[in-house]
Amino acid sequence: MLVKSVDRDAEKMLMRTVNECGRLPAQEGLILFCAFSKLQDFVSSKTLNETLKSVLSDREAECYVCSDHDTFIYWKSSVKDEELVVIKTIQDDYAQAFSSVPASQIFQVFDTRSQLEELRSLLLEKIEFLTTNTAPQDLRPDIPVLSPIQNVLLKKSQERRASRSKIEILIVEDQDFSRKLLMGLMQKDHVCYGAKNAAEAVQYFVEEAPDIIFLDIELPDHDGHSLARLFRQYDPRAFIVMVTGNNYQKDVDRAKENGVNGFIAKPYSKQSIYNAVQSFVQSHLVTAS
Amino acid sequence: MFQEFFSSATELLSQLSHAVQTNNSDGWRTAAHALKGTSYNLGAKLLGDYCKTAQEQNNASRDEKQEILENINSEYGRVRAYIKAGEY
Repeated sequence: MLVKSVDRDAEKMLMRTVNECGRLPAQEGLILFCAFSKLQDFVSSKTLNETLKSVLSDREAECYVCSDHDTFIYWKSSVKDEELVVIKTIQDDYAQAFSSVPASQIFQVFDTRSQLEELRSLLLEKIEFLTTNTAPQDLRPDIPVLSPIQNVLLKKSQERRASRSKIEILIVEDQDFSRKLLMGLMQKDHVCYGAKNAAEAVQYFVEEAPDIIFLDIELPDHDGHSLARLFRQYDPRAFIVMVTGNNYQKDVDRAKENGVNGFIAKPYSKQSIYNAVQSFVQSHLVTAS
Repeated sequence: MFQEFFSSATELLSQLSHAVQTNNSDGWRTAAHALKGTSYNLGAKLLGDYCKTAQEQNNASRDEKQEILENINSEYGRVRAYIKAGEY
């Protein structure tokens, strides 16, 4: 088994490999790239190699962990749906490193015989994205942005929502007390995720595809209005409810402009939160029928 | 949950006090906003209202802010005593 791992300059090395794939004759077999977003810090390409060895024992494989932790795995295959087995094994071995969504829904697979250009475009976008986002702080965009691979994964949001039995709720609130209070209200009946800043919120948004997002306006890294606009832009069916202590007309107006589904000012009652969930259920029923 | 509130409030009161001493308007507004939200969530409306005043009086003088902070500290003391005594 030959597994090559690349951590340093992974994006450029990956692009080189993709270009080489384009020069291979078609009879070389199916060449697959699996891309997934935001592997946690403690899983390096070297540790992934151990798992790859166990499932691809007789083949050549390469593993690239990019500087933003997006990870790409490459191997040649002639086995139908083999990528699902590989991904499932990786996810089982590194359960803590991934969100709980089914493996088939959080990975994007590229068959280089038919999707080489798509993969190449994604990598070009990715390299440009990383260049922008590693610029000095004052040159970075005001609003958070999604990486190209996060954008690809988001396209599966509706599919993921449709397959679940419980409502999943993301609560974005920087104050521990307020976040835990809201989660305490919801956790009995729903699956809840808590984010204490915009960066965490974006990650949950992509990886968990929450049905409802309760969003505070003042966050330490970005403001909630920008985040609402981003969520709405990438996922028109996201159900967003602003929950804020800023009960000012300008905030209500901005929330309306961003097309959010609700606005709850503190102090809020339990009932107002339950009503927001009920409102989601109603709109969901209307959409489904 | 109450312990979480005490812990958060103590930290934010300290930030408010530091913001007055160092004439840090942004720090003052941010801490006031945060304490306002947690107070309202707990149901401590008067404390939340004092914090709202603090947030809106972001450009007040140092003496004015000191006075607002005294009101906040005083009301926080009452809320804390009320909770500790189990009178809810």
